[in-house]
Amino acid sequence: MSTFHPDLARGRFIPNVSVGRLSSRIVRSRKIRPTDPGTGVTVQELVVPGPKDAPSVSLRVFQPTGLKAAAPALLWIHGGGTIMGAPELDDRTNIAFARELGITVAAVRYRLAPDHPAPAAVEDAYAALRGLAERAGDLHIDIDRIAIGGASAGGGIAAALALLAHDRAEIRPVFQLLLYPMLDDRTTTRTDLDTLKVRLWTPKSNRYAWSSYLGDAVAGPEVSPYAAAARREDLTGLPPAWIGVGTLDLFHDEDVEYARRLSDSGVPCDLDVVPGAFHAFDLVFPKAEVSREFWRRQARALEGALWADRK
Amino acid sequence: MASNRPVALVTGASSGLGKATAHALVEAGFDVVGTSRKTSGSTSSGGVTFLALDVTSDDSVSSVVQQVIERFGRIDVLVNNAGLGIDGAAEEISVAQAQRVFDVNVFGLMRMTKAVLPHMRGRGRGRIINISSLGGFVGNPFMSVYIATKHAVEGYTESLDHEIREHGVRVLRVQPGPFNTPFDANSVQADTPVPVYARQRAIYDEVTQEQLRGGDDPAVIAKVVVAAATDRKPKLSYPAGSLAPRLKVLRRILPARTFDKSVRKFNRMTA
Repeated sequence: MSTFHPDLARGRFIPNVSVGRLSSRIVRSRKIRPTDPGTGVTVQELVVPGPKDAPSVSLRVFQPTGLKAAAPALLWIHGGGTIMGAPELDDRTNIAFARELGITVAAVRYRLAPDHPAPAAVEDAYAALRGLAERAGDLHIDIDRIAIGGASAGGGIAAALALLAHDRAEIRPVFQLLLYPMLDDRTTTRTDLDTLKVRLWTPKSNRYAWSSYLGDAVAGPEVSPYAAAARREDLTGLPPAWIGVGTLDLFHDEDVEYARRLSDSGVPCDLDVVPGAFHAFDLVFPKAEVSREFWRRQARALEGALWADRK
Repeated sequence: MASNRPVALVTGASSGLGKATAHALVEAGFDVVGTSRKTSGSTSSGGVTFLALDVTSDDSVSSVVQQVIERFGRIDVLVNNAGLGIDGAAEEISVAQAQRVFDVNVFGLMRMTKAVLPHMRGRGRGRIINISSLGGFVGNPFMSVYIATKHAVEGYTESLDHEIREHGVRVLRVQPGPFNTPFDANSVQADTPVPVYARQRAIYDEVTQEQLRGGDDPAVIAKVVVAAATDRKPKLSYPAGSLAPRLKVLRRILPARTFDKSVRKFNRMTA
């Protein structure tokens, strides 16, 4: 594997610890401080009906202040291996999307594994998507221009949500923005990986997360594509995608492979491989130039998909 | 329009305590939006932006909260001040009339609270200040309905404060005693007078008039509201003025029978 990106050289000193039952529980119990969006963007916590026989779903909604006309929206799904995390994790980038692109960003607070294994997370995300469409009127959302996106496990859930939305054919998201998505549970059984320089998400964490989400089915023959999107054979008809991943990411191979399969199935897909970048590098070093550029590329991809008429 | 000053929304701000509170908040550095039923459209006076609001209407409440967020980008403090007074023996007030008072004093406050909470919870900060009363923790003859509304506000406030503290939001109550405002003129009259109460009611009216004349200046109470809005470590309850803090202590230390007697004596009731 390659060496660390020069902007991320400090990442060398991040200890390669893994998460397990206890540590993920501790992380879960910590509340992440919300970021004040300042002026220009307003935030509110909306509650929408949940999936069938499940509790309602909460959305953290950022909107440009004084939004009056229908504008596009992004449904955002946070990361954390399906076992940790909260929408507040990505406040900074979500606020920036809302401010710079003039769109509504709704980050879903989905149920976490192992207390709520698959398909709880993706069903919650679907309920969130439907909730946004139902409240499109008072939120000023153009339902024909809703993108979905997420990072890490959230990227995986977003990819699965794209499949679910395609199959149910009720609401059609127009774009999927996938940041180093967690797509394939079969990566847990790979033994050929050189993971010395992998940071933040180790094979051990990956095994614990996938088995929390899928239970005993992990890496077996019976895994639903709505839980691990890479399991899907037929990728035709999906919305265009942007996939970004670093070369030092455990998910590098599965993400590159998914991008290739999307392209082969006729789905327009931009693949952005960042040399020497590890998992979630943009969260750990948000001020590094490579992280800023990573965000700008996402913003450009979203702008192209959602504001095609502006160009 | 949007600035970095904190934003406060005060209901019932056209007169009395609401007006004094709105001006005190402006002085304390807030952008203040005041609401009242009587304002037509949006006007501005003394640094306070006025909006028309009927707290008994769901639509009016949600539209005003939306407007404030759109114009100022945020709401840091909500002061639930709008309220009605009603005097009269319990028997003299019809249930329908009591319901109308509850619709303003209690359900109006709940409507406002529920409308701003999604926003405050989203920001992880905010303060809701409910104007309760001395009548929130002490009973008094010929004020049963009014005092029932204020007891409801007390319980709602204390319970809700526990629920949303972990989301960075505090709900507090300010408990003024009698103070000198046209509140009495805004009071509703009992709609079904019963003659047997007439004599005692006349005495009550006299006592109340005395009390209000010698009551606190609303500016004193407004200062306490500002303290509740800005204290770094806020308290759940802010008894305000000259009478309420003392009565609060007395209620706590006096034996129930003694306290009961003193209320009766105060209202010049027999035995």
